[in-house]
Amino acid sequence: MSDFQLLTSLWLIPLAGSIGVLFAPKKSEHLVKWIALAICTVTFLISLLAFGAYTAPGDSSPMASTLRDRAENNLILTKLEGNGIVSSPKDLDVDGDGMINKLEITRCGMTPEVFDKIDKDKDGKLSSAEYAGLGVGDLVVREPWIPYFNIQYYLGLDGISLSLVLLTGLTSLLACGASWKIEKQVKGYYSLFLLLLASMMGVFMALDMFLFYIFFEVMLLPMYFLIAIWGGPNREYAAIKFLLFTLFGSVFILVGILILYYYGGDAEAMLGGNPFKAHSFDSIWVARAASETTYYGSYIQKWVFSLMLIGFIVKLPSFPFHTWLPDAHVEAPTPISMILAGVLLKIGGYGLIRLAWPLAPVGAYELATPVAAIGVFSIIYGALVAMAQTDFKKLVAYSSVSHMGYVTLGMAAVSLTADPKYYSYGVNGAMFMMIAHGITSAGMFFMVGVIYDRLHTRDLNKLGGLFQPMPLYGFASFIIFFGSMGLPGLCGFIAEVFVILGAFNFNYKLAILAATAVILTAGYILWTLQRVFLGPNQEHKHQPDLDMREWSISVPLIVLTVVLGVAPQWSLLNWMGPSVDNVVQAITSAKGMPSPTAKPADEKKIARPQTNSSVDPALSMINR
Amino acid sequence: MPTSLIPTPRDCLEIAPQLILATWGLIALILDIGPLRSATSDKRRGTLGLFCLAGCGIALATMLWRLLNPSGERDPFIFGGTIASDALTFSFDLLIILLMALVVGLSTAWNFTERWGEYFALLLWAGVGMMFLIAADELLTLFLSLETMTICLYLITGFETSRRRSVEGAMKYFVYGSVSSALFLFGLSLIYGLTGSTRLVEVHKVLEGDAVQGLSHNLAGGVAVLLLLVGFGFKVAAVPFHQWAPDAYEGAPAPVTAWVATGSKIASFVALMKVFLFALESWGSGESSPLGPGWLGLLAVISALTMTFGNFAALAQKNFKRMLAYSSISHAGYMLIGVIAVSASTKLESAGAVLFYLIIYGFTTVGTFAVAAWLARDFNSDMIDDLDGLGYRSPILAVCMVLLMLSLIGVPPTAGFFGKLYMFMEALNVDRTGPASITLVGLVALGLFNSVVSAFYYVRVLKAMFLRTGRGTIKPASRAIAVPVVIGTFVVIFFGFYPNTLLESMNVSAVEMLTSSTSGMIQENTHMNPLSQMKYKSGAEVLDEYKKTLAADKERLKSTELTEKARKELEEDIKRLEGIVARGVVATPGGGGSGSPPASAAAAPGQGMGIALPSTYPGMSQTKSATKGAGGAAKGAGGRRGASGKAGRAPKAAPAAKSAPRPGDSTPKTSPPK
Repeated sequence: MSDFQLLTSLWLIPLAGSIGVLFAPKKSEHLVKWIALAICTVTFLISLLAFGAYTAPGDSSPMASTLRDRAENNLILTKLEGNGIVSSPKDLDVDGDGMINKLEITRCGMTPEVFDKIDKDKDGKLSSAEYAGLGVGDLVVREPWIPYFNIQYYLGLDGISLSLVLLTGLTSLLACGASWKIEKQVKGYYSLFLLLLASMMGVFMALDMFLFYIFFEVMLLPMYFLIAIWGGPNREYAAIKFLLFTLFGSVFILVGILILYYYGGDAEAMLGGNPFKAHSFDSIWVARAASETTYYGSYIQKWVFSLMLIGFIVKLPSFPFHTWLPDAHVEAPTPISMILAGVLLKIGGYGLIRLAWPLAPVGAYELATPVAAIGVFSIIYGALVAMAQTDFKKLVAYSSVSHMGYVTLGMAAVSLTADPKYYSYGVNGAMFMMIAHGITSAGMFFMVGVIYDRLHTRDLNKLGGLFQPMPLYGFASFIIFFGSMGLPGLCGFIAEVFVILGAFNFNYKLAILAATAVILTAGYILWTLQRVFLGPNQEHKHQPDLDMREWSISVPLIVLTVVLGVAPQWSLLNWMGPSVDNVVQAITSAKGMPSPTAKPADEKKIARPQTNSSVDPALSMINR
Repeated sequence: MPTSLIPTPRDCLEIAPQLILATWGLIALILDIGPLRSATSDKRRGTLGLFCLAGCGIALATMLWRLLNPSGERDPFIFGGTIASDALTFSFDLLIILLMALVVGLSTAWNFTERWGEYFALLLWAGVGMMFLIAADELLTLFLSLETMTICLYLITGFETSRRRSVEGAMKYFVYGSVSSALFLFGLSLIYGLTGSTRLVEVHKVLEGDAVQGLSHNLAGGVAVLLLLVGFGFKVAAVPFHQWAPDAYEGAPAPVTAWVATGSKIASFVALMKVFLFALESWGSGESSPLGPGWLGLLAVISALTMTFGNFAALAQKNFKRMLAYSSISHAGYMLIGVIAVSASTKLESAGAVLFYLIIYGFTTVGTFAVAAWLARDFNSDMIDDLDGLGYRSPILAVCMVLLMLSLIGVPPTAGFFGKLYMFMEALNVDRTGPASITLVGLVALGLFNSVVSAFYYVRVLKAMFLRTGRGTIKPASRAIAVPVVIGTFVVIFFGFYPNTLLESMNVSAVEMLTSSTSGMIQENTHMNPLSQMKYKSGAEVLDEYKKTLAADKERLKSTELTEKARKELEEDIKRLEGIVARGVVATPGGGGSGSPPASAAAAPGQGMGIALPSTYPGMSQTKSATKGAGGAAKGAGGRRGASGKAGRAPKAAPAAKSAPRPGDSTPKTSPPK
């Protein structure tokens, strides 16, 4: 499968399914459910396929080179194809010796310099492994879409996005299973569900900012309807609140993107031997300009960063803009809550890590302390409010606010005075938190949904002693809730430790505050478990335990909670870490950053301390 | 009278669609009082509707025929330069006819009136007015076509006599409309008084000298601009001239509302852009301060007011058509941002954004009003609540409606999003610094904020359709209703994903719109003021030009490929040119034969005004073809028609030259009236 087919099918198949189920015959609700499940499965399998392609061993695997290099080499291939002679690099092989030499490639207008760049072993020929340099099998797709504005159909995967694509695929598959009991307007439900899946996949893959924005906005509509039609009693209020908040936030993002697009006018900056000019939506290219040149000054970067920050923390959500989340969660049906907590919130975090920080590193650095403070405040505030809840679902919702605070904190903790590897801990921790929270929060909402299905209440004061009639359910809940709490050995712990490690070198006061919040988290989670599972049980004596369907949804989540906690390096950091490190490196070495006051001689160390090192000092510490 | 002002058959061919539709309206009228006299209302509605659809079809066919059989060298100079015929008129005539066909179809959905003959005739004639309005290159033609359009619309607004609101709406529309027309006409007369011409291109040239100072110390000009703004503001329903719109929109039968909201608004917007962005371009703002005295700042205020007021007023509406009326007001505000952007921009193509938006807006709006017609047919009312439960009763059309609403909000991937973004991006792309750019950024920010606000009331429609269970009386939509909805949706989705083709063709149209097709513009750099680089020719130079053309014509005559007719025309041209050259009388700048140096002519506006008119004509064919070559349009003007056109216009040069040194004209502009 070519890159184009692979990446396109990730969003196109759900989209086609979304339209397709609408045309299913009437009264065929069961068929619709199976079709939707099949499409979710296929999408998840394709994301696994992409994972396989990404982590394939060898030099030509996409993991071996940075997303930036792959994106730029892909441009070469696009240019080669543009001249009409070749459709794939193999067509270049005129003499049929299976290798491409310099003569053959210059026929197509490629300069010898570019050839030398791709020809890694300098033997004057391109072996099949070096084709990857031409942009084949590099998991990047790049086609012109609206040339007038320089907008491209531009998708790409690296460790960061791939981990979230996998999470999306898995969560959607499980949520699709969790939707089995939906009876109302089944066709419409699954159509919107698949549309949501398509747009989420698109958001995580898009590298063109315009395309990103489109996928980002397309998400709104299905989510609005899914809450507003299939939600609880106060669903309309929750849905319109969600819609307006997110729309409002996205306008900020759009303005940020447009500033980047227009800033500078006709000015030029030299970037890697090529002139950089405004009027580009290419996030990789613009991020490179922001990091390697002084094209975007710190003033404009502050603006861009602030706008994007507001836009993404609405989605994340973080303290001042979080109020839509509890409403949306309480009213949304269980599977939609799973998606909302498991994937949608991650889009906010992904936006921060992929756009807000890399596109405006200097601005972000200057605003780091207030942003980190917002993160810490969210952690504590979310935990305290969660503690006060009696609605089970609202409690889990506020715990999401608290956990997402770690993402903000981890990203914001840019410490230049110490070794940049500490920042790398922070960002790795933030990414790890997104994955871990995606798994545990989806699990938690599913657990709440299971209870609600049986007892039709979520009031914590009316529950109690459920362990006794439902031991399996209790077991699953305990693992997932403990995972969320950050019990050592489960996934949440790794994330929290990394973030706090990073934050310590940034601002120890904030780090201590964040660390104390762990106690609050433990407090509300243990108290919740106590109120639900322990104690006397008068009312709910004979409840059926998890059935096959519910069990099969819980198992993957339980397994991942444990595996990510026990072997974080093997399961995630090995392939995600290098990509995170690339981002960190670009941010910390950005031009215009104030020079580190402590160790100015460390210039080289800052430049690239851990090139391609899959084993980062901090990460190996965990393994030890 | 110059010979070229007498319409030739070819001129009529250029306006064939208009002629066909006007005749068609007449025939419809005759059919109604003749053969269909005793038929039932249903029968007359159906027959006449079909008949008018056929008329639209034939008009479309003639346009397509002209597209497929380009008659060699097309000369845009028709009807003495009062009417343009270029890429803009072609594409927008196409648009108007398509929208008209949808509206005619929609009218056949139910019996809201008895007088079908008059109804359809007025509908078609209003369309003819719109098409002429888009094509008008001269202020009187513009006014006449504007009136043709609006008078027809006043009348059909009141056609649903069974409802008092219809009559009331028509009355309001008429009273507001006629007052604003009177003021508009007064504005036009002032423009004529100040510039000595009603042709847009000449007005443009005369005012060129004002580019530096804008409207400062020009009371008469300021009054004229204000009056014109009243007229256009009324037509496009911009705050504070919008008061008629909600009542007229609500009162008029839904198809008529659709026609007022789309055709009338689109045509008026094009006319507004032609007048303000081309003819009165120099009065936009002074160069010393980009928002200085001129219509630019005024338009910015109107735009901000319009979109904000429209959106907030729409929030409170319960009536579907009234809500759409306010939404249409707010869209006028967005589009005015686009207009301001063009004025402040250095690229004429940026007007393409507004044209693009107009097209998308037109189809979207017709689609939404088709739904209003559906409600009116079945409930005889048009409240938003009447939409309750539509999503379950008619899912496909409801989904289409969702997409139309999303497009109106401006949510991707619909074309409404792209159009709005395109306009805003052009506004941000202005490379002027200072107040103009800050104002534009502010307007764009306000526009984005307003888009979010607008989501609230558009979503109410979605809410009604999907979140409520409604009354069960709505019957399935007939084809007349479904077709506009589906076509609107198709447009919205298709151009949301593939905006490129439309975008590029609109850019070409925009350039043609803002370089009047009857003038020779120098467009090498597409600079903000394209004429600022134009050099005035001295009399001797002009004579040289004529001599050169004469020589070229003689050369052409020798070639054997010419047809008999062409040869004849060429001979005639040569005769004329020889006469001119022999007389040696060509307009000479400053009254003298010496010819003033180009630089000084450009520097002195008072003097430049007098000489600009005659001396630019000879340069026309060359510069025009250069423009077209650059714009990529397949239209060369330098051929046979170009030659005869030149000859035809040459005599006009002499009288104009006589009046060239008019001191009285130049004083009000250069010296402040104190």
